[in-house]
Amino acid sequence: MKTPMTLPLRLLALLAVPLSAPLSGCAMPSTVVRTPDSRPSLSIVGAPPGAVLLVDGRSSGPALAYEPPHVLMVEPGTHQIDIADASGRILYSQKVFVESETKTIQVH
Amino acid sequence: MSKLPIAALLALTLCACATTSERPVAVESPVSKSVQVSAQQAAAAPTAKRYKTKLAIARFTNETNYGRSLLSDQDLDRIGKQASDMLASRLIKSGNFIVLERPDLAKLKKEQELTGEANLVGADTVISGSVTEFGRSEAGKTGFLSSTTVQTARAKVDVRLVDVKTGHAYFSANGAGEASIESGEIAGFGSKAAYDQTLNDRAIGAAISDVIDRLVSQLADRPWRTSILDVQEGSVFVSGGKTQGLKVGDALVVMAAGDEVKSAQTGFVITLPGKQVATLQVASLFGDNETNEGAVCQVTSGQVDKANLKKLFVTEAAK
Repeated sequence: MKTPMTLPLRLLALLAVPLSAPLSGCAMPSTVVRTPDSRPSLSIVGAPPGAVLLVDGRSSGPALAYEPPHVLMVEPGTHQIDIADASGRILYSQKVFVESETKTIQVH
Repeated sequence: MSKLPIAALLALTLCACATTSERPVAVESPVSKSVQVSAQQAAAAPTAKRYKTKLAIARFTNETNYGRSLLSDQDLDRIGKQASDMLASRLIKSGNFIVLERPDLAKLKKEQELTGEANLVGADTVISGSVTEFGRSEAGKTGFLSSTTVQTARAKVDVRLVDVKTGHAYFSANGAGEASIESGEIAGFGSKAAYDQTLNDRAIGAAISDVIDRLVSQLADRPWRTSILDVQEGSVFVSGGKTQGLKVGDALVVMAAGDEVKSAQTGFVITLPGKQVATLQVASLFGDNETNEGAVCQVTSGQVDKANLKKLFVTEAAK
């Protein structure tokens, strides 16, 4: 003998249909294919206040702006790194090679 | 007064928190990418005359016990081959060396049999080395309701440069690299990180970049000298051009090489000082890369004997 559905059960059954569609979408696997940004970066430690960072002769602004945790993104390869004071006098100079990692330059 | 012990207890509780390190904050250069690339190329241009060392990798192996049991190739050296490829790729990228292929030379020779053209060039210097330290560690901190875990891979590589002619190992360098991943949680909430295999490769890559950084910054350029290619209708053609720092108008000196004498003290062959035979001035440059460049020079004094070119060499005129 068939028993009739009670009202709360009917409401639940009605709600289950529209709810199941978006919820089943949550379980779908997602695939992402991309090329990550693998550029290297530089961080400067110990630069005096007011010093300017020059990468390959081009100013990148105050050297203190690149103290950890801040790192300056650069292109891979060999770079000429100079730290100059406000008058343009070179205080520190170094040739560096970077590929895809963070290089810390200790100014001393 | 009763607030003081509560504050002290709170401070103690907070002190006992295990917190993760600060994440690096990437800052883009105020200079555009194209300007950065052109500035990099301009900085790489020689300021004085120089000749890039012709390098070949003789051996680059994994001498650590790590990675010898799993995923090894027929030579039982997976990490060595991977590191050797990384070294070759980064040496080329540094722009400071002429890198000659050696690990896949057999494949190159097979290809040359098909094309029928071959002109393999010998190296001045071979590079030998290995991955000398490699390992992983996992460390952590546990505080009040909090914990952090750091997985770290560390690698160290050692290389030496050996003069092909004499076998003299004239420069050595080592580089170290580290890659880590840190996760932390507070009261059960936070980040999680399982074993990351790429940390190993990144640590080796960073160690190789570090060793090349030392080669680039510490290896002094050898004194510049070149050879005479030919003498035609009063013009002297010398090897080397723009990438070696030669400019139109440069004054050069043609020298007759001195005799070669073997030193009884060191066993090395020493060339006695040469004799100046002529002076040249660079009139024009030809070629477009470091393998085909040359300079056309005019004789300003003395004479260049075409029959005796093998005994002559060209250097910079003393300033």
